[in-house]
Amino acid sequence: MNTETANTPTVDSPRKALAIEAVGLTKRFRSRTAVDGATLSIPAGTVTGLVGPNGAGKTTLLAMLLGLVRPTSGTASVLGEPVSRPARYLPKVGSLIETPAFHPAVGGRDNLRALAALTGQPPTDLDDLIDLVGLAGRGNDPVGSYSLGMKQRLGIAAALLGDPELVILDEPTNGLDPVGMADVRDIVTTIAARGATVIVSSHLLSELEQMCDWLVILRLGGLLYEGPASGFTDGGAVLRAVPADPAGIAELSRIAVGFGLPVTDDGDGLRIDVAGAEDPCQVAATLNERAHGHGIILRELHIRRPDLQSRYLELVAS
Amino acid sequence: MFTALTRSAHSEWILLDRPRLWYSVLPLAAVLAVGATWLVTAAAGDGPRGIAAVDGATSAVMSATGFVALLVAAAFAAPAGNQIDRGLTRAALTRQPRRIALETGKLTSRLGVAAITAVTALVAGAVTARVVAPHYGYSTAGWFGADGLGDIASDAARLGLFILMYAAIGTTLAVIIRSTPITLAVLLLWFGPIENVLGEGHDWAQRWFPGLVMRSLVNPGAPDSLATHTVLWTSAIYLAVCAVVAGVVLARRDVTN
Repeated sequence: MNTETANTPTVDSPRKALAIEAVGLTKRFRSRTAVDGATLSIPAGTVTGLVGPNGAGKTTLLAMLLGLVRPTSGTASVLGEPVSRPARYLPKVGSLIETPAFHPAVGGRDNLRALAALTGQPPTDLDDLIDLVGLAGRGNDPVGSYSLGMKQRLGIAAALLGDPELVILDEPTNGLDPVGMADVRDIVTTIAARGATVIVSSHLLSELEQMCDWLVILRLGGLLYEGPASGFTDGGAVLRAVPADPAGIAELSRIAVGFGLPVTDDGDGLRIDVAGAEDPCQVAATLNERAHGHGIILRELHIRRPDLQSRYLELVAS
Repeated sequence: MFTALTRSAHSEWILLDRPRLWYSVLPLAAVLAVGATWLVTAAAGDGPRGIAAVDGATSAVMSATGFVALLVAAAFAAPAGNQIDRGLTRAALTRQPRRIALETGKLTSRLGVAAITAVTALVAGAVTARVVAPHYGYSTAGWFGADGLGDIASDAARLGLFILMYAAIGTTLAVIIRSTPITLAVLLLWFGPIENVLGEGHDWAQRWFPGLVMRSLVNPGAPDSLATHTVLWTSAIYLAVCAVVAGVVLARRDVTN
């Protein structure tokens, strides 16, 4: 199932300690295969985006990592401990999986207190957490009176109880308004800055693009890509150059061809495929210098990188 | 295991220990006990466990307990089922993965609430009986002497086992079925028509149907009651079966909701 993984971009990076490692992880529910032989490694200290369409197996994968679902085959470890022994690592893991679940008749603060009590944590940082997720002043209200977005915020607070080493957030921006989404982004950045590893599953690729430095992409239970986020979006970068005087386009084209990169004349300017270039920015600088040397003034010169969404759609379609 | 159990019990107690719960459950238990005691006292005759007997202070409440069996089972099945339905169990398991300890701890806290409620009912019943009995010509002499207090303690122990049995059955069904409405429907069906219609007049049903066995437990003086040691053995078998079935299901099942 990992056939496409080999064709996806890879970037050499120094071998880091792994927060999560899975080999051939598979889960079947009767005849349906939810996760199909996932082999992945998530370095510690990264913010990892777990991406995939509905039914790709994201939640099942996370549920296996949290010890909720038993793998049909394969092995996995979390923070160096096997998933078959969740009691060894769960005290260091905070999670929000599927929808946030709280007792509706009990206040948000007491719901957090009850969850903290499960691991014997002293309920000292509850008010700070409630403030952090933007629920200050509502902590004592029954959760049944909360909006979906407020429950989501409380779910994130629950995931942060006890300052975990690994935080797993499954669709954390569900039900949140744009301000709430920005808040979640800030919270994730704050957690990551403390040195925690964060895994965020989401459909909102633009959100992930702003947060994540590592990506795991699933489709139909299989792994499509795993690696640095920058490695995923680097492919397909195009340098666009437009001369101020249209008459200069032929000369500019001759200069561009000299780089040995594919060049397309789109009538108004040039599109140079810099995906294969070692340093696309250096190509742009050199082109500018040479054009100037030939008396060509450029009115437009910039590199267009594909965003996460377009690369993702391209990969899924392939 | 024990630490996980106590932490789970503490966690559940935080969720249960709220004024609204106490302000609704305790007055309801007291009102039911007062009403039942009054009615039983007014209607009581001279039987082996008549209200005028030395253990009469709590006997009226015990006589009425059989009528709230379904309520007791539902009171344990509903929170267990709701926690599974609403994902609370899933959320708890991400922090406390020892599943059997988690569920046992939660059950322990619920039993704590039930015990406080039962004591309230017994006290309310005893006070009511003490006040009402003389008006119906029954003597209350010796009710609170050494023998009388011993009988009250015996009634409290019987009530405790009664609650434990229905708690185990309700919780086990909720764990197996994972749907509160369906669990309640099964309980209603079993402890209603099946036990009372199917079991009527059949010795094997009186001996083995849990609701009928529990009836013997709380009304040991009734004519067709099972001997106490038979009730205790049968209860022990039921509790063991519930523990094994719930334990296996909890330990092996994937948590997907």
